[in-house]
Amino acid sequence: MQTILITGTSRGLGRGLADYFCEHGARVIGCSRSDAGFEHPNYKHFVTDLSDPAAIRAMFTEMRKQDITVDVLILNAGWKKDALFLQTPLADLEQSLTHNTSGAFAVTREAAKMMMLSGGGRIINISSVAVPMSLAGTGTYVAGKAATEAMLKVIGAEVAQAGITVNTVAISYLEGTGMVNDMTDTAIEELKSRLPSSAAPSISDVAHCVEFFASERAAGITNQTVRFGGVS
Amino acid sequence: MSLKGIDIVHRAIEMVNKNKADEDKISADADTNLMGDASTLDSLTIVNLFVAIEQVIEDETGEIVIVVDQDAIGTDEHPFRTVATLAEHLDKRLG
Repeated sequence: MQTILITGTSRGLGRGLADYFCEHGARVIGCSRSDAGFEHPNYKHFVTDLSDPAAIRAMFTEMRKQDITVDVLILNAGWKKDALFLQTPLADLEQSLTHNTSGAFAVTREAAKMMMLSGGGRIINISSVAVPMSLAGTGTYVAGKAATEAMLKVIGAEVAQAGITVNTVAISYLEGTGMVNDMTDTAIEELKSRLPSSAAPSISDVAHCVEFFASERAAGITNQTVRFGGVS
Repeated sequence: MSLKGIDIVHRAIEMVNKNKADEDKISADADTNLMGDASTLDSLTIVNLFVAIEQVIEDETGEIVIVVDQDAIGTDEHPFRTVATLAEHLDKRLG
């Protein structure tokens, strides 16, 4: 049974992925700043603030005490606040980098150490097509996500020898997720009009893609990005 | 801290050896060469060993200790040559 750690499982895509993988026989460890609001025999939740490196280390220490070894890490948690550049305070950029990049770095570092000692693993980053699309109003969010994607490419190269793969799934328009909830109607229309593919993915579609990267047979695939919506 | 450097190194070697074939396991003997020309360990095994050492220390003390001193590695008499010198280094480092 694979043990999958998913960040940001209290709602949206993270919650959906937790549900999907629990139902498909994995043991899922979730974390978020709040309670899970979700129960399943295969699910265990940690209340953890991912902007606090000490809290992240404490979560991994507790996992080791409970003999939990993470096979797959899904970096799903994200922070997003849309505003046009000239109306954006610097603090928003710092928040994005703290939550979207520093948090991902700290979790990945601890998980990778655990994976190295267990002989390998999978790291799957959830990102957004907003990164290559340069959508108006997404500057701070894209800065954090783009930095994480770039950082993970380097990490992927560094840990490849240890049998750890690092890949990214970039979602487009996904109903019921934090990404969409924070967007104005105008921004949603702009996004939809610019997506080459009008097929709106479901959480299950995203889970299917994540499941592929997490699979045993994807051992030779690393530092790759799959983008939904036909975006290249 | 109750653990001595040699105990930490031995526990870390045990962790790393769990996923190794018998012929690739690291010997816990005091004079086992870890880093340097005389070592037969690959770089990944060395990294795993340092990760394991840091994990043992953190689990024991709750402290985050970076074991590898990049400046020290560049010297001829660096502390990561053998199991014994690494244990001695840890004893000094952890006071």
